[in-house]
Amino acid sequence: MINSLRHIYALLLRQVYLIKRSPPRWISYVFWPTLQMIIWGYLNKFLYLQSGLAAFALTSLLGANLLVSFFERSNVQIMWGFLEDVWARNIGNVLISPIRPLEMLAGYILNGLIAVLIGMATAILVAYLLFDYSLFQTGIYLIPFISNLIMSGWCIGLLLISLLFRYGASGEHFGWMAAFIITPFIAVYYPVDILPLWAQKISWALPPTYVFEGLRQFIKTGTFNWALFRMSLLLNLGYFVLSIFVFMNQLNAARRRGGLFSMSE
Amino acid sequence: MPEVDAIQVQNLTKTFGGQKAVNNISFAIPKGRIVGLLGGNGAGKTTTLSMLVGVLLPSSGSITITGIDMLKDRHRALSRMNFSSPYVDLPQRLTVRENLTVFSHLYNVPRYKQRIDELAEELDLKSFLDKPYGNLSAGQKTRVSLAKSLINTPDILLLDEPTASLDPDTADWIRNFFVCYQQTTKATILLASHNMQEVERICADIIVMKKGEIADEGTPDGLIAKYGRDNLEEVFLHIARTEIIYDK
Repeated sequence: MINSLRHIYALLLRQVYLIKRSPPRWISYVFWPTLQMIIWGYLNKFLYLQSGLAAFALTSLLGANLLVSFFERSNVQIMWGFLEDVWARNIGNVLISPIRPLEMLAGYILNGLIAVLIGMATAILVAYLLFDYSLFQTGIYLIPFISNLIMSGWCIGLLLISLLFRYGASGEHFGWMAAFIITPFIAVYYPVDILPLWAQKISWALPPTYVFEGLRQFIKTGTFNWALFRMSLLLNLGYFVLSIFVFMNQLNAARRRGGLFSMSE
Repeated sequence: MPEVDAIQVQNLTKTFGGQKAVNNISFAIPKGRIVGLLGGNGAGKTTTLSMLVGVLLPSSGSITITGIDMLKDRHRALSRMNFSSPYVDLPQRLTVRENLTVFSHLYNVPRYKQRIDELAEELDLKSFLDKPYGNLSAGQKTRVSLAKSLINTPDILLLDEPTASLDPDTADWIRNFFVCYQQTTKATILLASHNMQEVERICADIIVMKKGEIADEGTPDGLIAKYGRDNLEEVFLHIARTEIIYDK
C-alpha cells in the first residue's frame, strides 16, 4: 500500500516540479476557463441590460459556464499529464518502473485534478470580482455538482489516454476535440427538451446532462434534485469502470503491438 | 540447490504482422555476469530487451528474472531491475535532482536523498545536480540517465547502446563505471551494443543475434578462437555476412 502511494506521489511530484519550473503551464491551466468566464460574463451583462432576460436565466448561464469548465478541463488535463511524459520521451522510463497501471491512472487523475483546481479557482475568482457572481451561492450542493462533472471528465480523459496508446501521440488531436463534441448534448446552456428527440436520447445517456438539469432546477426552485444526482453518479460509476477497462485493454494491446518506448506520432 | 539464473529466456518469439522479429531464442544468464548482446540493425536486440523489461509482450515463450515469471509478476521483477536506452529521455525542465527524486519514489528507494547524493558522488553529477536536465551536455545527460538506471541499485541492469554518441573519453569513463558497479554489487548486466571493442573489453559472455535468432554465443576469446579471427569485430562481420546460423 505504501509502495503504491509512493508511485502515485512520484507522478504527482513530477507534475508539481513541472509547474514550478514552467510558468507557461500555469497560464495554460488558467487561460481557457478564465477567458470563457470573461466572455460569458460580459455577454450575460449585455443581455441583462438590453433584453431584460430573467435574472434566473442569466445566473443559470454563468453557473453552467463555470461548471462545464470543470468537465472540459478535467478530461483535457488528464490527457495532458500523460502527454507530458510522451513529449519528454519519459513514458518508457515510467512504464519500465514498478508502477502498476492503476497507480499510473491514479497519478494522472490527481495531476489533472490539481490543474483543474488551479484553473477553476482563478475563473471562480474572476467571476466574483468582475460580475459579482459567486458559484458558492449553491452552497453545499456545489460539491455533488462539481464531483460528478470532474468524474465525467476522468472517464473521457482515460478514454483519451487509451486513444494515445492506440494511435500514438497523434491521438492527442481527438483529445482537444472530445469535450467540444460532447458539449452540445449535455445541455449546458439550454434544457434537454429543446434538443431533437434523437439528440435527447444521447443526452440522457451522458452524466453531465443530469448535473446541468439539476443546476437549472436548483437555481429556479432552490431545491436540490437528488434523483438527478443519483442518476448522474450511477452513470459516472458505470462509465468510470468501463473507461478503466478500455485503458487496461489498450495498454495491453500497445504492449503486444510495441512502440510504447518510442511513443510518437 | 542450484542458484537461480538472473535472466532465463525460453523459446522467446515476437512476431509483428507475420514477420518474426525474434524467433524462438533461448538463453540463460547466471547472476553476476556482464553479458553482451550483439547484432546488426534489425537483429532483434532492442525487441529482446523490450520484452525483458515487459513493455513488449512476447508472441510466445517465457522470461524469468531471478526466478520471477515476467509475464505473471512483472512489477515484482521490475523493482529489482533497471534499464537505460537511447529511446527514452527524462523531463527536460526538471533538475537532475528532481528527476532522480521522482524515480526514487517510483522505485521505492529507501533513504532516497542519501542514494541521490551517493550517485552524484559516484557519477560526478554534483556540479549540475540542481541544473535543469535539458541544459546539460550529451555526456552529462548520459551520466544522469545512468544514475536513473542505478537509483534502485538494481540486481539486473539492462543497457541498450549505453555509449552511443559519446566522445571516447566519456564512453571509456562509463565503461569503467559499469565494471566497477558490477564488481561492487555483483549485479548482472546485459549490454546491447554495436561497439565491439566495448563488448570485448567488459563482457564475460556474448550472445550474437542475427535476423531474430541467436547466431552464436560464448566468451569473447572463445568466439575469436572459434572463428579464427583477431578480434570480435571480425567475428561480428563474419557472422553478419554469412547466411547460415552457426552451430552453437
